[in-house]
Amino acid sequence: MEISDKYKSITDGINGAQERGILMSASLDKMKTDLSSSEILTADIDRIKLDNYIDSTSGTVTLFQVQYSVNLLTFVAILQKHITDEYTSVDTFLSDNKIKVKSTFADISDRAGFPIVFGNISNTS
Amino acid sequence: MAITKDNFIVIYIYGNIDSEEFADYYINTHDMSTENIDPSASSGTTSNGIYWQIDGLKVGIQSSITSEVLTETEFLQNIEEPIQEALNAQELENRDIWGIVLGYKVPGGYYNDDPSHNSDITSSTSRISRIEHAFSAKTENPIYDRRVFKRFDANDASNLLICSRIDGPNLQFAKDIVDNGDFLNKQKYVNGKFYIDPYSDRSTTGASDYTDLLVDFKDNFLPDLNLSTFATTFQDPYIDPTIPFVEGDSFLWSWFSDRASSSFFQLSTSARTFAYNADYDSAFEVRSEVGKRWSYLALDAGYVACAGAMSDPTIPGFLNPTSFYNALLRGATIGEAFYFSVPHLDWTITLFGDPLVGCSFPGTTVVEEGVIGEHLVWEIMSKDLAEVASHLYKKELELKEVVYDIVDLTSSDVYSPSFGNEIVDPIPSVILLPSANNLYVKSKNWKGGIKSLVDKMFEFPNLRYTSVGESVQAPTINRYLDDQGFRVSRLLADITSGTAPIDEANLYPEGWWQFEFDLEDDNPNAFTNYHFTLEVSESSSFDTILISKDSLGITNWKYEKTQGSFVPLLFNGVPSSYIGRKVRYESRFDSLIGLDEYLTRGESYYFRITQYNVSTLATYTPRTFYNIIYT
Repeated sequence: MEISDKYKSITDGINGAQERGILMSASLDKMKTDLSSSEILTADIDRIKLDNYIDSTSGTVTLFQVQYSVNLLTFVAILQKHITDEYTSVDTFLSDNKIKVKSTFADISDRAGFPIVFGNISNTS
Repeated sequence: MAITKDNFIVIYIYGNIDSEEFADYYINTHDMSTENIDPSASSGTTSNGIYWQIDGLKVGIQSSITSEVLTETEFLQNIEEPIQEALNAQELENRDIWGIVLGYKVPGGYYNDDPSHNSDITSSTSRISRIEHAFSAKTENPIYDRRVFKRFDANDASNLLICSRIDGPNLQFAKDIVDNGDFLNKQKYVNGKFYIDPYSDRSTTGASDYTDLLVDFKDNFLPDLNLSTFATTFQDPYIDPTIPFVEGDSFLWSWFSDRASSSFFQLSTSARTFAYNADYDSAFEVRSEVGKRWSYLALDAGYVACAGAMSDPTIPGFLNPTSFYNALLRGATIGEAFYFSVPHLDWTITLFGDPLVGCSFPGTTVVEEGVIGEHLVWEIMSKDLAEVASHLYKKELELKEVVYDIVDLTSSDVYSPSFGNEIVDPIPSVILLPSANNLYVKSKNWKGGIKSLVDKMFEFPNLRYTSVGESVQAPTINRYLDDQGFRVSRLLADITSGTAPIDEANLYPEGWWQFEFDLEDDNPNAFTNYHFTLEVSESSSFDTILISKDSLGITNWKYEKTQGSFVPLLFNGVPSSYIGRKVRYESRFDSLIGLDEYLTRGESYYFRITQYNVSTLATYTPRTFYNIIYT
């Protein structure tokens, strides 16, 4: 496999893994909505406790799955820095090798200090 | 916006003093307007010379004939054409007309000209309700038996108008009907007895089905009305058990004995609200003072409204009590409830009485649509949580792949046009591997992030269902799953395996999936039986289809008959009545016949559902969903 394919595979892997955080949050939001739509009384202590556990888990998911972790930013920074060292810029590498990264990866890269121009970002997730 | 008096017009016979007096009486009782918005466009004459005149919500038609039953041509020329022209006049176009009251002396129906059906009498309320549509005898009612209740609205009005008839032997009789309705509208609650007779001596096609429908209503819905009841009991297929008389009654629903006498209705101090006897000619000759048919007798006894047939509606044409009372219980007027419960239009059944009257049932609680039963919600939430687990599971796999990609980088070369096509080494794995591995190792601990919530879900039944009234008191999770017939994802079971192992029988097989969607109203202008095609693909373009299923095959297709309760799909498909309810397909696996529809855990797939009309085979716009396999 070409190195460009590998780079694409790695960035797509990071993109997909990170986007799962949003999907997890959506499922927990739905769980909370389902509970609130149930016939169980709002003041019911078991319902309140379960609702609190959903909130707590949602907080954990936001912190560790939705927000960009230090480990994630470190990994992407190392990856992009080496590209920059070799190519002068990530965008040059991407355009020379006709690679388009996905939008979530592009955002992580930006947050890691390596912005990517719009033309090198694919519009599919 | 719910229907109001301002959505109704009252029809009277122009030039007939009694008929106009009745219209004024109804208009005044309901404080309806007789002022025209646009006086320049408020009268006319049809091509057949019938004059019509609009005064606000009061519409006169100068019919030359007022017999109770006309010929088809007479009805068309004297009744239908002038009403239609009035409805199309700017004065009424400016108003949202959703309903029509056919007042005193307006004919009640017509014999069909078609020689093969000339004993059928189309009721005027049924025909006029479809006045904006071409006549089609016994057309299926597009709003019949709505399972997810909603009030009659503008969309419904484009399909049919709520049309009722107030008539009788004399003017005072008709005015009394209005008074009875006005009394109930002010009192609101009804607490008289409900008399029901689910049995008949009929043995024709569909008779046992109608008895089943009535028995189901009696056993499963009638208790929700919180009324005292009297019900006949089954004796013998050849004996028609009858209600001997009614007393203290508010509701009557019976079949089949088709004649009665005024002594049937004894005293009632409760508001007499709605009566229906399922027979073949109850609505005929409501103007006869010596009538022995049910509609006349019920109105004469003080009932606010009733329904009956002008001629044989056939047994499948009888009213459905569950849809009628479900609507009434949820705040619909009698007019709305009738049209939600009558199977056919352009047909023989008539609604008598004030369609604007509603009532309430003291001591009843109405479970709003969308409120999920507490056991069902547990199952739904367990699937939500299983989705979270499957995303975490898949994330671990994706980060593992990233590590593998990095390990595999060593032999790769890349050319750089910007540097004279020199071979460069842009991604040295030795630098990246530690941080990639950090990400992966962290992701392997995903179970800990949701364990407390999974534990809470699994102990919820044990903590909650502690009273002796429960089918199982303080059940373990396995007992609860057994009792409810639920299963859970192995991904969740693995998280709690140390503390609360789930029995194998209570787990979904890995890769099992279920696709669920809402039935949509793709053909809103007609009652439709829907079937479905389901396609599953890894790509949004569906260029490669992994699984393709048609519900005509029936196997493993189900629809939500009552909220949260699924039953197997029938050959006829799912009718319009179930718009808003869910339909589902469950994947199959059978090693003996080499059938394997299971998919890969943690992978997401595109599911494309297409509804189609089983009669015409017309297909409707597909819907695409992207779901993860959470088992």
